[in-house]
Amino acid sequence: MTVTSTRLHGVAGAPGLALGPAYVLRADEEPVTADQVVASPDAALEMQRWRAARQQVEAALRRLAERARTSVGPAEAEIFEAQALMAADPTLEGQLSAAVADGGSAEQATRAAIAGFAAQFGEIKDVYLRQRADDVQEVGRALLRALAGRTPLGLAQVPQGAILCATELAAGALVMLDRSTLAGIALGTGGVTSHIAILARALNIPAVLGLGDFVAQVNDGEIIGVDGTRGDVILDPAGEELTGFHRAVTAYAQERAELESMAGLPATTPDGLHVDLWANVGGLDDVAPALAAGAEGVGLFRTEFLITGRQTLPSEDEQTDIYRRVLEAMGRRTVVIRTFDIGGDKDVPALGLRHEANPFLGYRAIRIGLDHPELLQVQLRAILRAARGGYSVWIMLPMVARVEEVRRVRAVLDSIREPSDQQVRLGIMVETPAAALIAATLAPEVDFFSIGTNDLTQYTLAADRTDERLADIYEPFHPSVLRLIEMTARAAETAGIPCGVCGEMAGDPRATALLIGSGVGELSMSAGSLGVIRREVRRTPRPAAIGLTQLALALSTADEVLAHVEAFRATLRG
Amino acid sequence: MHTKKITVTQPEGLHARPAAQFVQLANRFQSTVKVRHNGREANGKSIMAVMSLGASAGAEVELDVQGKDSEQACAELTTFLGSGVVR
Repeated sequence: MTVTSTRLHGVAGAPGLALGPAYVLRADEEPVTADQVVASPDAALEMQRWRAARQQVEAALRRLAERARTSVGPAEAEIFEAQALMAADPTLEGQLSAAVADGGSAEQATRAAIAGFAAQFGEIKDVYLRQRADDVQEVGRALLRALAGRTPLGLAQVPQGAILCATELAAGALVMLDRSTLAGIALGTGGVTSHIAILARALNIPAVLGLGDFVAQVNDGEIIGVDGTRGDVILDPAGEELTGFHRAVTAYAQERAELESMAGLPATTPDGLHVDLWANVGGLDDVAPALAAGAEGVGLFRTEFLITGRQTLPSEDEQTDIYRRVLEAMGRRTVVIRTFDIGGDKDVPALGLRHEANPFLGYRAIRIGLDHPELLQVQLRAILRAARGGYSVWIMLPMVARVEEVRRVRAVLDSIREPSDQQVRLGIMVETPAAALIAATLAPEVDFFSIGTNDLTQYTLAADRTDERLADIYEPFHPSVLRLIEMTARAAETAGIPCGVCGEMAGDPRATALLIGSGVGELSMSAGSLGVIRREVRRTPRPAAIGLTQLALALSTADEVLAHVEAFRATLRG
Repeated sequence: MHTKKITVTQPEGLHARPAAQFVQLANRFQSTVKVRHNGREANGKSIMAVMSLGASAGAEVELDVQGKDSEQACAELTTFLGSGVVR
């Protein structure tokens, strides 16, 4: 076998497939890294150079903000408005003029001042503010480019349909490009939460980031394939590899166009049953993609990111702040906030949890919360505070196995809530077989159920979902799991409370009919699955789904269930 | 001169977006604007300085406004910080 292509793996920054000629942004188009040595800089001249550069940068960033406002959205425009203010900042200018008066060049002074601010921001405990250190760095790079006589945002003309390859890219550079121009992005740096990733997702440009030192391997103009869904890049594919990738790009574009054309349509079955399609989010950055995909609410807001890997617990203020930002961003749609689901595979150094032989059956989630009022009470208070002002917030408890746990949390909640907080609902994740089996007992005690199918499957079949040797046992379509789901939904219906699903099954189109047929009314999933599930709901009549579900519950194996599901879906597709 | 102690009820505290709006508002006035929080003082017309205060929602800040239009400046900045109105 002759290997003609190189495959690289990076971070899946923005989903989608693209194939096109590489346009390589080389390091020599980037600002000089060595300080220009000036024998004895003339302070007045250096300051004059700096002011000219700063004006250029500020003007470019303001134009960029305008452009972002019309082509991307107001939230993205604010990134650049804040950057323009940073460039024009009087404190920055003060530091510059002091450093230049001391004999530094404008470049040296800029570098030092920017490093100082970035370090200062980096120390702030608030995670969002800490990320603003990146903005400061970006402004610094723009200033250095302008000082070197280059265009501040550092991007030349990119040919139509090209894949932009670079070690790093300023977020602003991306917005300035005509979005119809750029087919894809491959970058050496950047993570899932970087500005570039967020913008690329907003602009629907497939992007693979964090590829390291790959630019040296890419020749300008050679064909390169980008799989932003998986995080793969293929350099110079040929023969079957090339035609295969090309077919995949075409199929992806067709599928995308079909799903996009449906994004504004209601998720309603042909017989008129509306199914709420909600999104699972892990922070503020997930909200915009969820809304763009037509999410009607957040069915699972994971809050663990606030706490895992930290030495100190997040304060009530910090939490309130972050919850409120997500609530605001969702524009008053319902947001289900799950209390800290820690322990198991998510360690929290601040709690000094001891190692367990069997962590998933151990000390985790609500079990820890009930023992640590400094954790649970603070979080509940923060949620209540964030919800004030008429937000629709549901609090969801993970890992409930016994009714006492719900009662204890409700007592805590009642002791801290004010009369105006009554609109905040309290519900549970049904993810232990125990909770599903006593669903009829739990239902009158809570305001909603949300079935966590991942843990429910792992606990029901006693199969660790992270152990690949057990992959064929860990099977959410096993009749045992389906029966527990149906029991739970039926108990919710009897008690008159909503029942949703927020595990992987919610985003799996093979499960849609079975969940509708069980009586599940909300499906919550990652934003990327909303389109596929919307289409599936719209072609699944409820009476037929109930028939399929009743049949499936009586089957013997998961394989039988899946065979019936596939036959059923084939008839729906016509 | 106007000095005023305010509890920030801006839901996001004085972070990137509200800080940018605060600084833009402060720059509309001739008066000098100082913001004090946790024993540190920042020029209220400098986004870098205001953001490095790290004042979150519920934080106590002190405004010190001096100049011809200080009365109106202080009133508007106080409303902005204390009202929770982002725009």
